[in-house]
Amino acid sequence: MADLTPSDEARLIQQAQAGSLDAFNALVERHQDVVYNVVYRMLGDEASAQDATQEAFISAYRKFASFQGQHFRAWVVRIASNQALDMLRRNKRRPAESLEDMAADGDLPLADASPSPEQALQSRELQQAIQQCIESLNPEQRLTLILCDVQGLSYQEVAESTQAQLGTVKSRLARARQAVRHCLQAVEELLPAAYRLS
Amino acid sequence: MSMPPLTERDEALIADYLADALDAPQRALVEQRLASETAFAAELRAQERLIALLRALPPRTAPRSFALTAQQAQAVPRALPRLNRPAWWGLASAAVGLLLVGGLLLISNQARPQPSAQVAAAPTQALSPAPTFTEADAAVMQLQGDLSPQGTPAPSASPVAMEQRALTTVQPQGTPTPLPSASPVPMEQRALPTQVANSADPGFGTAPQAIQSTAASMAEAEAAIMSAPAEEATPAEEAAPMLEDEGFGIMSAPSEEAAPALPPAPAQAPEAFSAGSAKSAFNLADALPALLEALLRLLVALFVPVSSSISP
Repeated sequence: MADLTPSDEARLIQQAQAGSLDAFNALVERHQDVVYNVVYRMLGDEASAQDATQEAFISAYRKFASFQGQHFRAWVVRIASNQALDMLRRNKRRPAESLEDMAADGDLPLADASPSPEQALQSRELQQAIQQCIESLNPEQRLTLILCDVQGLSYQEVAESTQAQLGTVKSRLARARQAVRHCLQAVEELLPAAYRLS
Repeated sequence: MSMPPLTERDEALIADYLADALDAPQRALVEQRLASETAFAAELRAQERLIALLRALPPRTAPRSFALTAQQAQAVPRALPRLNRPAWWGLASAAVGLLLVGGLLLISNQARPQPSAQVAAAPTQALSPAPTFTEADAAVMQLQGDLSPQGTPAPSASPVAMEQRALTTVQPQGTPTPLPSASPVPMEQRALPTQVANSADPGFGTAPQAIQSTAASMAEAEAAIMSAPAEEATPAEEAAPMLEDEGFGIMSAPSEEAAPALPPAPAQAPEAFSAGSAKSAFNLADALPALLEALLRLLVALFVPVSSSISP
């Protein structure tokens, strides 16, 4: 599913808009990882991320007739991020809770393929510290940083996904990077030498 | 020689450079500065490392499929396709809305008796000093509404309307004499004798007592209305005795002595107003079908081209 060409996607969109649930689900399968990642980074815990992702796709299905030719990924990410922002506002979650959840998940993939227990622990601590720094941002900056720097979306796609002007995206991103850099300086010792920020 | 600190503009330039969002001349300029300015180059490295760190976060694969089941899909009410509305749609909608509101206002104005007609029809109701609307008046108005034979409330129960009506009706045409209401004596003091007369309390009458006494006088007035010759009571006819009662029975009893005896209201005043009301109703009946037809034509003219422009 991940190897769909743009023309394949356009065809699926047409079929889905004509009422084909299979076509819509093919689009879901293709983009669900991105959507889930964005929502997970926004919310910081798996259960909420799953709920938000499912709600986002249901909402997308409901509104799909009004989808008109934009980038489907940007459109569905926008729905998902709005869902996540709503959840954030509703829940006012505590960052510590998400860290506990992350530790309890036990399925944090590690960057190092064959880490020693000590390295694995360090890596997990680093990921937690980064996630904590991301969660310390305000929701708009957080979303921009996640979309641009974690997911690798272009400025234009981020602007579409967040319904913001390009200049707004750039300024949010600059502030978010500054804040995360400042935050990570507190855990400088966790950063591998190649990633030291100063 | 130390280099100047980097500005936000420099940081933004570096960010754009890393995002490959610069044109060729800007890119060349950045590369030139990177080669010559150590702070600029250090900032570039710091941003690169941060981005690399964030990109190195392990991606979270979706723990399950979020594809919708048939049941989920059936439970979701799907939005209707968006209409390809032309640019003038908003203006046309606003025009129709304004027309509807205007038509409703026109109808309601035609159906409602005009205040000026009321004033003109009852010119001789200026029998007393201008009454000032007080809380006791409000209570009396409420009581009158309750005692009204048809159960209809007083036509203008709001204090502002009451004030205005009192002022307009009290002004006799061409009468230059100042009204007694211009007296600086507070209304409470002027009303006091009435309250004292109707109360066993030789001191200050309380508000409920005043209301009771005025309610009694109102009941008398209503009885008089009820015993009047049977006519179709118009709002003006209902208002006239009320005003008389307000003027004499409630608020201005102590001033009666000073006030000159004025002739009673002419009997034809309510009839004149009744004729005006009938004319309004006739106009409304005439205008309504034409208005509705015009609206219908306009709606048809608007919707036919729009429905043809809906995308398949």
